[in-house]
Amino acid sequence: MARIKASVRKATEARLRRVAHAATVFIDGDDFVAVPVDPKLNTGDDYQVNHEPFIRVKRTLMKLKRLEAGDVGVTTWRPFGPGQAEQVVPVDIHPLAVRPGNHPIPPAMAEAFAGRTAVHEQAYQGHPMLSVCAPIRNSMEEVVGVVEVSASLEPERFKVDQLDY
Amino acid sequence: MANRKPAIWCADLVVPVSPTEPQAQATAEGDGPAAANEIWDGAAATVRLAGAANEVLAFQLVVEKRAGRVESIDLDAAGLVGGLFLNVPVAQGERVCDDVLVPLAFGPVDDAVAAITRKAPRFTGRGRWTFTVELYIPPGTPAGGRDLALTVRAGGAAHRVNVALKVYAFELPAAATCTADLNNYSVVPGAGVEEQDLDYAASIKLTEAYFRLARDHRALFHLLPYSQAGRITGRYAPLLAGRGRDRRVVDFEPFDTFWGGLLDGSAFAGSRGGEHPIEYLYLPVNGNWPATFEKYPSPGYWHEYRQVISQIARHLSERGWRGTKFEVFFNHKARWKFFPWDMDEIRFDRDNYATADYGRAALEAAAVAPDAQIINRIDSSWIFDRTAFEPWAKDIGLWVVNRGSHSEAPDASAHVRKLGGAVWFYGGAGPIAAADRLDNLRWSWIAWGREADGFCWWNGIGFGSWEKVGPGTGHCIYPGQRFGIDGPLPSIRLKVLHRGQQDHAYLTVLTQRTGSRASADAILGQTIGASGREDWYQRGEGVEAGGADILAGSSTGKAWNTAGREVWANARARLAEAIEKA
Repeated sequence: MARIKASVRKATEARLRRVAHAATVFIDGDDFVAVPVDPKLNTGDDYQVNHEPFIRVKRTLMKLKRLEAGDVGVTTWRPFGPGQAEQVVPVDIHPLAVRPGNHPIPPAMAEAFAGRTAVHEQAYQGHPMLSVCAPIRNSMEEVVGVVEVSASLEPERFKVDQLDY
Repeated sequence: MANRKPAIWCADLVVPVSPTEPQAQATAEGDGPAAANEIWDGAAATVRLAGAANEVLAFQLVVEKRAGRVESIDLDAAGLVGGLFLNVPVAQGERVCDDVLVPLAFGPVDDAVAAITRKAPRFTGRGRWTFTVELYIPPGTPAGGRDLALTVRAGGAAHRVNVALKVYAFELPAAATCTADLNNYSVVPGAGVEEQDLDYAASIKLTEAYFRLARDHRALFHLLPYSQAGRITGRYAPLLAGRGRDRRVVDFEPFDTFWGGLLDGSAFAGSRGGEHPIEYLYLPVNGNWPATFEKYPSPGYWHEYRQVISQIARHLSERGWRGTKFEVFFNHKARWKFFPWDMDEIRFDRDNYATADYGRAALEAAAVAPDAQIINRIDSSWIFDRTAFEPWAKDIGLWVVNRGSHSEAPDASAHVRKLGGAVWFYGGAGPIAAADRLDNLRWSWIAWGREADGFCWWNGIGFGSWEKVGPGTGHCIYPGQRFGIDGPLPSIRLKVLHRGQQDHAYLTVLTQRTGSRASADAILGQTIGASGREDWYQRGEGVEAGGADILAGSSTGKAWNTAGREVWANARARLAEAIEKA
C-alpha cells in the first residue's frame, strides 16, 4: 500500500469523527433494530426486512454522507452470534462481504458496541481506508448497533463512495 | 484385439467423450459408439449429417492416442464452410471432462494443438484427442446430397472420414426464433482481463465479441450494468447531474459509445445471426439510479426517476434505436442488504408492489417517446402463478421465471402472454460432467412446447473463470486470453444449445408453412411423446417450484425428460421431412 501522509490521515479522521458523531445522533436505534424481520437470520431465501424502518435508516445514512465534502462511506452493524457483527444496512462498498454479513468484531467495533467511538484502518483491494465506529442507540439509550463511517486514504486512486453519479 | 477398434471415429455433440478413459469406457455406452452411432458408420468410415440452408452442423472427431500425434486435419468442404475446434477438458472432481472449444485452422494442427495443450489445465492419462468439426450450409445452398471428406493425418498415416451430407430443401431464418438468453453481471473483462488493463476501445471491442459469440449461436448476451449496491459498472450509463427538479442526463456519450454498436447492429457485422440491433438491453435503472434512494419514496424521488427515464426515451428515439427492447429491471434482494425488497426471484407479495410502482412510473415516463421500446422486466419465481394475475401484470413486458416455477404454471404463462408480455424460464447451463448433453439441447424444445418466448441460462460467463470452473451450471463461455485469444471461447454445451435453437427454427418453419402447430405437435407426439402444450408442462407435480435454486435440468418423468438422444434426432428428421412436404 502507498505511504499515507500523517496530515491526510489526521484530516480524514477528524472529518469521519464529525460524521460519525452526527450518525449517533440521527440514526434511530429503534428503527435500526426493527430492520430484520427475524433477527436470527442474515441471508437466504427467508431473510426479509421490514421495509419502512429499513428505508428510514437508509435515507438517514445517505444524508449523513452529504454532511462533509469528500469521500465518505457508511455501513451499519448489529451483534450477531458470539463475537460477531452483521452488516444490516450498508450504503457503500466495504472490504467485508454483505452476504452473509457476519464477521468477527474488530477492536474498534467492540469499543463502539461498548458505547465509545474508535478508529481502525482497513484495506479494500489493497487501497488503504480509515473507519470510525460509533454506537447506535435506541430510545432507552442502549447500544443496539454500530455505525461505521469510512473514507479512502488515497481518494485520488480509489473511493469507498461509488454511488456518486 | 484393441487394434480392431477404430482409432478415429465420430460422435454427436451430445455424447460426452472422455479424454482419459480407456477406449472401452470412452463414452457412457462403452466402445459401441466408436464402431457405430446415430451419425457414425465405422465400417464405412462415414459421418451422416442432414441440415437446412443457413444451418450449422457439428460433430466430434475423436482420434485415439494410439493413432499417433495428430499432424493435420483437412476438410474438403464441397463449397460449404467448415470450422474446427480442439476440445479442451476441465477438472470435474476427480475426473476431467471436455467442455472448452479452442478454434483451430484446418491444415497442419500439430503445433497449435501442442501450444493449446501447454496452456490448458493440466491432467494426466490422456487417451485421445477430440475435435469439434462444424459445417455451415450457406443460405441459398441447393437441396440434395453432398459428399465431403475429412482427412486426418496422424502418426504418419492418412485417415479418410467421409461426410455424407443431405441438404434439405428449406432454409432457416437468420434470426433466432426463440430467445436463448445468456445472463451476466458486471463487465466482460472481469472474466479474464481487468478493466484498467484495457484501453477503452479495446474493452468495447472485447465486450462486443461476447455479444457476437452469443448471436453466432442464435443466443442473446446480457450484461447487467450495475451492482447490488446500485453502483454503475464502467461507462455503461449516461452521466447525470443535479438533484430534484434539476436531476438530468448531462452527457449520453458514455452510453452511446459503449452500446452504440449493439444498438445499430454494426457490432454484429459478419455474424451468421445477422447484423441487426441487439434484441434486448438492460438499462442501468436501479433503486439508486437515476433517482437517489436518499429520497425514496418522496415526490422528489419519483420526479428524478421519471424525468431521467423520459430523457432517455427521447434520446433512444432520436438516435433511431428502435429495434431493441430496453429493460428496466431491479436485481435487488433483501439478503444483499442494500435495498429492502426481493425484486429478483420475488417470493413475497409485499415485494411485488415495489416492482409494480417502479414499473408503472417507468412506463409513464417512457410514454414521451413511444417508439423507444422501454419495457419492464420482472424476475417472478416463487409466486409467479399469483403475480401473473395481478392488475399491474399488464405493465410487465418481460417475465423471467424460474424453470421449476414456470413448469407448474401454464395458465399464468398463457395469461401474461395474452397481455402482451414475453415469457422466458430460467435455470443453469447444465453440468459439464453430465451423462449426456441432452439437457442443453432440450431447452429450446421445451420453450416451443410450452409456448414460451425463450429461456435464460444463468449465466454466460460465470464468476470463477478458469480458476474456479465449478460444475458448469453457472456458465457456458470461457475467456480466451489463456490461449492468447482476445475474445470468448464457446463451450460444447453452448454448441448443443445452438443446435437446439436450430431445431426450434425447424418447428417454427413448419408451423409457419402449415399455418398451425398441429403438424409439429403430431410429430412430437409420435416421437418424443409430447403432443401438446400440457405435455411439456409439469402441472401439479409440485416438486420443483422455487426461486433461488438454479435448475439445470428436471427430475420429472415426463416423456421429454426421459427420451434418448436418438428420439430427438428422429423428431428433427421427421420435422424436416414434413417441412419439405408442406
